[in-house]
Amino acid sequence: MKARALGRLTAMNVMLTLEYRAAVSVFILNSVARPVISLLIWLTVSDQGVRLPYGRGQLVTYYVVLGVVSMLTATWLDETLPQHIRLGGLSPWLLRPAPYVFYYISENLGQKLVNLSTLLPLVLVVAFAFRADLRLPTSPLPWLIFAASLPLAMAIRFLLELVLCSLAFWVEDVEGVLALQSVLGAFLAGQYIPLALFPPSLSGFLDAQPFRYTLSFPLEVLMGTLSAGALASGFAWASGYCLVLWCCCRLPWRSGLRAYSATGA
Amino acid sequence: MIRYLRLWRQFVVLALVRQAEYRLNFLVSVGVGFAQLALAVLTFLLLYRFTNDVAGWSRAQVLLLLGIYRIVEGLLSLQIAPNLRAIDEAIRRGDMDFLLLRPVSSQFLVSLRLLSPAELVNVLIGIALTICAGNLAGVRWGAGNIAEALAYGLCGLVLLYAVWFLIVTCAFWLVQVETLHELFVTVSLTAQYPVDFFRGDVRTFLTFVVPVAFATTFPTKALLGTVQSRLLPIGLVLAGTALLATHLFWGYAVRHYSSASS
Amino acid sequence: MTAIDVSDLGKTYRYHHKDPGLRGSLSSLFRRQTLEKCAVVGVSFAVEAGAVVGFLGPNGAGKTTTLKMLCGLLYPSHGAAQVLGFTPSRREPAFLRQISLVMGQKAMLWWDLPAMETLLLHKEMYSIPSGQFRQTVDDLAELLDVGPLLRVQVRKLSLGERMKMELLTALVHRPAVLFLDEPTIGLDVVSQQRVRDFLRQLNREQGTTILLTSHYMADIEALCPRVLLIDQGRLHFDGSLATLVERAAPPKLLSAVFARPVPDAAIAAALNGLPLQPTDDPLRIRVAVPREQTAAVAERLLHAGRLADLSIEDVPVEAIIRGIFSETATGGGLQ
Repeated sequence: MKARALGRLTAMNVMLTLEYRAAVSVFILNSVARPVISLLIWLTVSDQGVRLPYGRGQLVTYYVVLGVVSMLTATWLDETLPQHIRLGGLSPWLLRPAPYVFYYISENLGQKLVNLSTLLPLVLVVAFAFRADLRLPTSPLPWLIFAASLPLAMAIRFLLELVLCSLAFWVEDVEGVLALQSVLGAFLAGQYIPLALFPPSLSGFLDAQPFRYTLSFPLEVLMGTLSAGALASGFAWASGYCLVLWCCCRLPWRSGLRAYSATGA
Repeated sequence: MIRYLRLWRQFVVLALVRQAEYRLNFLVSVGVGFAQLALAVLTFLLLYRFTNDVAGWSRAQVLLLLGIYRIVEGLLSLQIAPNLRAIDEAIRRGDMDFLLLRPVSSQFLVSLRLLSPAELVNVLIGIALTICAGNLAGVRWGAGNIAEALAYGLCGLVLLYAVWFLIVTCAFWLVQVETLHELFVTVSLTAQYPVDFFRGDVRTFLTFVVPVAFATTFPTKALLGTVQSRLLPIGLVLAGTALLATHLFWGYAVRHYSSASS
Repeated sequence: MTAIDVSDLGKTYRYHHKDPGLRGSLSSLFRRQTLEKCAVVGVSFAVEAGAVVGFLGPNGAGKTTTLKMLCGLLYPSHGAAQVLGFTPSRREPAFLRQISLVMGQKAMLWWDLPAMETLLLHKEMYSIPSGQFRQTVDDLAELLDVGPLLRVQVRKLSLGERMKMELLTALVHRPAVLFLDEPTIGLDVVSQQRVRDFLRQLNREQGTTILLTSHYMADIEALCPRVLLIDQGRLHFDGSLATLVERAAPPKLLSAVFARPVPDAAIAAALNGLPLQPTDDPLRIRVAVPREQTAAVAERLLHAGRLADLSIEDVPVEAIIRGIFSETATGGGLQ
């Protein structure tokens, strides 16, 4: 029953997104354009003959796949949830039999399904443009491990934003915090510059921090730069973060919802 | 002409009165601007860890360009962005009706009536960075090259406004323009980098189609004394033509406007 | 002097059709069905300077579309309009300076600022000299009784106060023609009355030509000596409200209370075939009687049994208009 509800909600969200047909394609163009700009800059540096930790092939692979992974793990909670909490938009969902969080998950999935359908062709175009340097795994195993790392990435981002949004129950302006988290998180996830290009002294910290697992780790898996040991410990860290964040979610949300219903929003 | 200036002054007053209401918003704007600048500086520092010269630009020169970018981007966010972002909502909500009824150029109203005073802080930060990096890069500050840089910068601002405005005017036909804004903002992000960082065809695109080169690269080169002087008249002609294009397209769009139902 | 002259004015909208469901959304990505809606078919009328005219019609009748074409906001699909000697759709500044539009459902005032700030903006936009500006604001504020509210943020005002502010702002540049679209919508009864009184006074003292649309009968009754009935994009009537009522030849409402129960047959005979309206009270009857038969039916009822109460009323104008609209909807009309 819950699965059906989720399915139906997702379908409705897909329809909503399709309504704005021009907008969909442009948003996707965006997710592809930014990484390409960064790639062009780094290629300019690399072509000058400068020695970088990533060769041309790795740079191209990293940035081409970046758009897809970034989109698959994206969350847009900060656009709606704090407002819903502040202005009472949460109420209709509290009255319905499915858990409120389903709405946000379905909204997320719905948007992603539509985005993916327009994103993939564009990514293929970019991949074709850079095909000479693209280095994707030929055997299925790396792809499977890559696929396994994606749900963890999605979960970490979603749960983190869920925790921060819950602050909206008590704090007036949560958007600022969310914006900061978004900018900082993107940076630390390798959205702009691959983590491998950061100063080596920071590599210990960078490898351990949670944002790595929202973007950089899946990409590293696909690029084949990780040893078996590194893979194992990576998955351990990622799962650990998921668990910790999930636990962190429950208390603020439970007490927040209690306070919310008490004031009769 | 004076009337329009007085009107603009009234817009500034209104914006300041409004900003005073939203103090937290002000802090967030400043904070985000700061964070974005820090990010850009960090990016360059990481880039220049591997080499002292990228496409003929030194680290100090690139930071100088970043300072100018901050100024230009700050001015765009101060005066242009709030207005262009509000156009499609004005159409949807029906506020556009009132804007079209005033005995004043509707393009003027729609482009300049809103301001975001918080962005002024970003402009000032940009100026500070420009001065510091300029000194590091060995800029010889003089009336000549500053005026030249300002002229290029103005061309760039007008051109960026024009391109953005043309895109956004499509709001009369499209349902949702939000992501068109993002597309423009993404492309204009390239203004953070010297156009020389990009390949030939991309460079041409960034000089004549979405003219970020005029906004940041050329003013920087003007300050450094390395810009080709024939580019300025080209820029002025382009800016004038672009402005005319916005006027014509806006007129066309308004004529086909069917305002939101009552 | 004719302020407004309209000849065969019409407007057709184009919009898109979408099939429901996911399949419909997907197919609409590739192929869209464009449909046309004729909002205004072709209206013609003229308004003298200083007149107050009301557009009456149900929702979607074309009143607002017509109004917007007269303001210059909409480009007519066909026909011609002249307002104060100008072609509205050209939106010349000289024209725009002399008109004003107030919409009941949309605000022109800046939301989070005091109304005075928007007024100062209008002062610049309409190039109003400072002395005249101050005088006009004071006069209007006194008439509308909103003086102390000028410096209060608009979002903190009640709906009635906001509407008065909108009117003030719209009139600060002393337009010759005032267009009002549903000005009293959402207001409480007292505020509605105040707005009507103000508009009447404005017209009387300034000679402002007023054109207003409404689906509230009370607005029209109170303000407009002349009514234009619009429905489905067509002008069905142009004249005084009294003439409209007369043309509609509405029945009279007869209500009688008997002292003691009277057999149904006797009542039926007295009514001579007219249908009874349902009532809760077995002693009470209500019936709609054609005007010419009223006296005869009343007399017969008096003889049918002992009456405790008898009243003969006019059908409310509201119901008359509704009746006209449902007739025009089914293709009928006024005789």
